[in-house]
Amino acid sequence: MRAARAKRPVRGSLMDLVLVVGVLVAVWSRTPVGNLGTQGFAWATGLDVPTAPLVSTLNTHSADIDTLVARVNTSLNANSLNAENGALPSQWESPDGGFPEPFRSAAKAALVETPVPAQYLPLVDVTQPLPEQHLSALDSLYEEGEDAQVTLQRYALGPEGTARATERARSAGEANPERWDTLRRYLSSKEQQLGDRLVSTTLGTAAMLTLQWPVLEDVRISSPFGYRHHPVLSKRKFHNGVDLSVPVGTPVWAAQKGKVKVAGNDAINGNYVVIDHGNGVRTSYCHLDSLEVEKKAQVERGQAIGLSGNTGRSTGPHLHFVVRVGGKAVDPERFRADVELSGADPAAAVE
Amino acid sequence: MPLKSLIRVDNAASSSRVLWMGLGQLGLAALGVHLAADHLDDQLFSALVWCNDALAPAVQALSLKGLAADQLQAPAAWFAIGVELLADLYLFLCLALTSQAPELSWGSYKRAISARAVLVPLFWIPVSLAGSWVVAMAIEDSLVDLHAMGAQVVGVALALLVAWRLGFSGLRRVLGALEPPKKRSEGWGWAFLVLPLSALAIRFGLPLWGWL
Repeated sequence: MRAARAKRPVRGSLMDLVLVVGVLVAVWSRTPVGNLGTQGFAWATGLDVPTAPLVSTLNTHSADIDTLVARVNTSLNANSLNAENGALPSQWESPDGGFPEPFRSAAKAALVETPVPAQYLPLVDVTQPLPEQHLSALDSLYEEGEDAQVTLQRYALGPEGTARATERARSAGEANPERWDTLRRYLSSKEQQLGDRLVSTTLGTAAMLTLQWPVLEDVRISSPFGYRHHPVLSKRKFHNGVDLSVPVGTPVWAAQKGKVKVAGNDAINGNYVVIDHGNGVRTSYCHLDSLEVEKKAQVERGQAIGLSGNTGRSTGPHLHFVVRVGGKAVDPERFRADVELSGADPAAAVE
Repeated sequence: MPLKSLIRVDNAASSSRVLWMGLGQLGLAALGVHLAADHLDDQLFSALVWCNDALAPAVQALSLKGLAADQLQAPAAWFAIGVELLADLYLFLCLALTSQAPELSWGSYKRAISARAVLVPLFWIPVSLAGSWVVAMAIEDSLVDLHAMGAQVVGVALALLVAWRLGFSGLRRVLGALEPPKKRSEGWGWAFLVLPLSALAIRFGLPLWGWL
């Protein structure tokens, strides 16, 4: 086709230039192209330019999974917050209408390095440690009976920001406009990052703090987490969970409320269930004799999901219990107050 | 005098237009592509889980260890980023080496009709509109502290201006640059990339569905 003939100046070019600059700023701050550009710039100049990860997972918005899990273990031990089978301990009730447990302890464990959002700085004593600052801000924000996730979202975005993002999600016809993973799509990358740190990490940590043991607490652990000599394959292999020695037909309970991602069968895991507890926390239950839940079912903490068995690659009746945080298998024993594990687990680090 | 200065600056901007106009048009479409790709990873994750479940018997028959569903989240996210970058490249190729304002007529479009000539507007229009909405949100976010309602109005007004000045001019440019094809099927391979993103941009990139 013919090229343009006009050599005359194009009216409104100055306005177009301003619009182009605005669009390019948005591209730089919101898209992977801008992210890669920022990372390239930081690499080329050697400057310490803050960059967000390309793919955001719990690993990327908490300091590090092992550190976070170690803090959870410390919190459980320091506060004797270990959840007994079936019910949450009474200490977890909300203190004087303040921000409720277990989210309170979760915020304390998770928000060690995250700064207080600028708009809430007037509410806090900046001489206190960061977790205490977060808690005093959350205490003043929390409204009696409110869902902790909503409080955390208001904390991350401010009330107007939350309303704005919810309205946008609603305009786009999103099915769950109140959920954080929906809301975050309608925010700037800066708000996303702060929100991921404040909301997602705190909720994920709360889920970890309240993980229930899937069988009775006193059941013997026949094979712990970490490297071991595999009984069937006869070679050194990483064991990504714990084996709990229970007879066939023992009820197995969901460690936390969540959605059943997998309820299936394969040659290695036998009959197995994977539950997604949200915010990067998942648990798996393998070698079951029978399943009592279906895929996509919503389960409550402590709900029976199946009966233990000896199916798949197994040498005797047991339950293989796996906890994954941000996709990484971590030692399930870390979520028990009576088990103190100092520092990061070298076996987990090797994985 | 100030008006004369403004016209002089406008003329100067016009003379350098070739350097930056394409960047703005590409950037606007890239914002829409990002919005669509942001939803793509969820869809990809569901598809991967479905494939994983469907392939599980075959994997077992080969005595291989299958993947757990939670191991598929990160690959889905990385794949979505790959798709997004590839779509950005497609847009760049559509815009590259075209003149600023090629003449466009229905006759010339008919002569250039091919798979590419159908895909280009099908992709460009939804992603530019989605990109304009992203611009509206960005403007509102940056002005909201001054005046919430005003920020929303300014955001929508500027988004409409961007859709017209960059989105529409970009569409004219990419359509005007189409050459008569050697084969009508030319460019159909991009449909696998372009159509899902177009559908997601229409579904999630237009702030209308909540009202309809």
